[in-house]
Amino acid sequence: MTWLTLRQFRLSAISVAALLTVVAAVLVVVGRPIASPEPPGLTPDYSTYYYMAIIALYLLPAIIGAFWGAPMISREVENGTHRLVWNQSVTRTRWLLNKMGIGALAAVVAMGLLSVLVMWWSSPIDTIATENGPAGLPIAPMVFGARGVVPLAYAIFAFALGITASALLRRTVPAIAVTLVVFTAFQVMTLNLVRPNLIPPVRETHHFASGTSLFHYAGSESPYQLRVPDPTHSWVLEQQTVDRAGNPVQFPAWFGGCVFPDVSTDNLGARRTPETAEESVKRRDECFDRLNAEGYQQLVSHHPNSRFWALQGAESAFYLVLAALLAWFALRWTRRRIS
Amino acid sequence: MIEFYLDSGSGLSPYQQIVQQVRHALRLGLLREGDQMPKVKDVAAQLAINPNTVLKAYRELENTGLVSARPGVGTFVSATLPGVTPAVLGPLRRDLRRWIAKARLAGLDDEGITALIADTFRETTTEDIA
Amino acid sequence: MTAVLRARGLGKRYRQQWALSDCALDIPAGRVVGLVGPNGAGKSTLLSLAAGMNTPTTGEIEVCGGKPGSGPDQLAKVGFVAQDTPTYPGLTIAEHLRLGAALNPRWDAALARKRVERLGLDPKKRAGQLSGGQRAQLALTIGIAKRPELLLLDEPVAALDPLARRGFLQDLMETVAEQGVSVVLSSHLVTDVERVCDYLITLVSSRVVLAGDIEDLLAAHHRLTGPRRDPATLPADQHVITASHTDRQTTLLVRAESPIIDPAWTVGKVGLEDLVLAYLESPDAATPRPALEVLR
Repeated sequence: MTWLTLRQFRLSAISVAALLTVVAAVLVVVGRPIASPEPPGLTPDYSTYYYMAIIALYLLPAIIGAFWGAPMISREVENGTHRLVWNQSVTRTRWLLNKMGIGALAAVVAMGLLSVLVMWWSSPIDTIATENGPAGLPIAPMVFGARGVVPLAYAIFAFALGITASALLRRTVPAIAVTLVVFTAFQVMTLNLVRPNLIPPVRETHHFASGTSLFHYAGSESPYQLRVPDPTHSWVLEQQTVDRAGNPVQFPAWFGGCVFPDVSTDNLGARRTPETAEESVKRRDECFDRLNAEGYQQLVSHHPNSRFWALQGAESAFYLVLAALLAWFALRWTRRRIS
Repeated sequence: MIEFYLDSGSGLSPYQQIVQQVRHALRLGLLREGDQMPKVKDVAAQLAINPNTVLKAYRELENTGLVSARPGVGTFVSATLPGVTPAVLGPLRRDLRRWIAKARLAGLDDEGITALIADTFRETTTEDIA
Repeated sequence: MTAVLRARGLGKRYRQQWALSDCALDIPAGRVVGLVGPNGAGKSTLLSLAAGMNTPTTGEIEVCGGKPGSGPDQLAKVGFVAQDTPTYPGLTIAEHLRLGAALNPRWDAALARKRVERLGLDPKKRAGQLSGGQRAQLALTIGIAKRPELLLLDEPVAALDPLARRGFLQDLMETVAEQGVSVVLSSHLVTDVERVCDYLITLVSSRVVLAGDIEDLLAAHHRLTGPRRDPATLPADQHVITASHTDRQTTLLVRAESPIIDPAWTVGKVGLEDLVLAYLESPDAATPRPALEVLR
């Protein structure tokens, strides 16, 4: 059985190996980047390669799912060869388990090689990364998915997803399309809904201070928001103003008028004496003091960078469990429903 | 060794045709006592017919004592059928010729003649059986 | 005699459509069974169920003493060459044989190699480059070298030209003679299977209308011609399958277990093709009594 699996897998494996070779060649020829913590930190050329390498890490799982997983059963059904191979003395379950096992192993190897390569190339940047550059922190959403062990879990998940689509749809092209769409949807969903909550985020409350706190325009939904400085070395999820009782609020009604008195209190066309700079600063200080006095605070939830490995483990486990469920379903479906 | 053929227009089943061909071959001296019959497998493959059909024909030949099977060796012709010598055949053919000429004179065409022969032949064989 | 295939109340439904219904069969071992019927009558469904590719909707089926597709042992007992004789276009003939060897514990490598040699196929050639007949031969080779107890062939000769068809059937019969394997072979043409089969199953619109040993079936059916008369006046044990009338003459195809003695009839033999056609023409003739089963 293993012989057949390897024989059928040969071409797909060679294609991905060729792809990896190209990526490796490019990165080696370009050479590891020279980066400095002082702005600009990284030349535009290195920056391009840095982001391309991250994109490659996101693409490879999709490629594995679409081109290793999705054709696995559907191509057999399309050619009718499932009627040949499933009528030898090997059960469908064993046939599929063998293909899943070898494919998953290959996916881990391919993904591992690309990960190690990219992390080797990017390490001069990663070691000096801060939230202000020259590149994102490891915990930052985009970098997180391209570092550590999660790429391996993505690859296995995408592979299992491809096989499931293959078993359900029994046609290669739709299976590839569905695999790509669902995988992308999962990645977006994970980033927004799953990863922030895998571990309860750190929640801190801060008092306002006129020197550092901001009252800024944030878009049409809620035109103005209060903000305090983001914690450093963290992935900030949310800032929310709360009242004395801890209920989320926007900001007290008087605050807008306090900070921008000429906007809300004055009649149009009325003459005013312009404030001096000192007067303005003093008035703003008073506004923020009044906020603090009335018990308003800013709640900040975030994941500090030190949680990188904890989050990596949790997210990998999440994807691996999903992959296992998909694999179980695909096995069952293949055994019962395909003829 | 005898080689069989199948005639789909003969109206006989394949097994009957095999039996008949062996009998004909024995009568015409093409098969003699001691000759080996082709293997069942080879006949089945050559004619693309069911081996059971060949087996059945061979069994019938065996029952009538014309062939006998030697396990592990093959099937061999074990008897002969009385052939007809030209001396006997000649006069019979002459009689038949005379009769056909008479039938033509009576106005029968070729088809009428064969129909009459076949019909009469069938009649006499049923009488023989009855 | 042990049955190589046994079915009771077997049915298969695809969505709302019954592809096979209420099928009862006992196929004895060692036979070459012809499974005939028009396209869409349920032949492929029956074979798929026997191979374990499909699971029945109703009833049960037992093949070589086990549930089809139930495990590696059961799979080893049954060879299935599906319609259009699928092979891997990208794999060579040699690789197909290697596949067979890797996937079957009872694989007969020498037999497979010899067959390919005799067929004059180049082992290095990819299956995608073979003709329909060669592909059918390759698929049959894999089926045979697996050394099954029962070989199921779904329309194996449909796509073949007459020469390839003959070659295929010759090889099949040689295998039957050598290995004593039981065969069920489907076709929509009786003439394809007439020579090679000794047992016949006729399916019409998802039902078995005729099943039995071909000789017994032929012996039990007669063509009666005689002066015009109403078929209803026949004795009870003579069952009319088809009837046609002219002004003066009546022609009947009847099934009768005992000899026809009425002197008014001229009794004639019925050929297998005519017999099957009669049942295809009037499948309902079989329903008043359960499908004729003649077992030895």
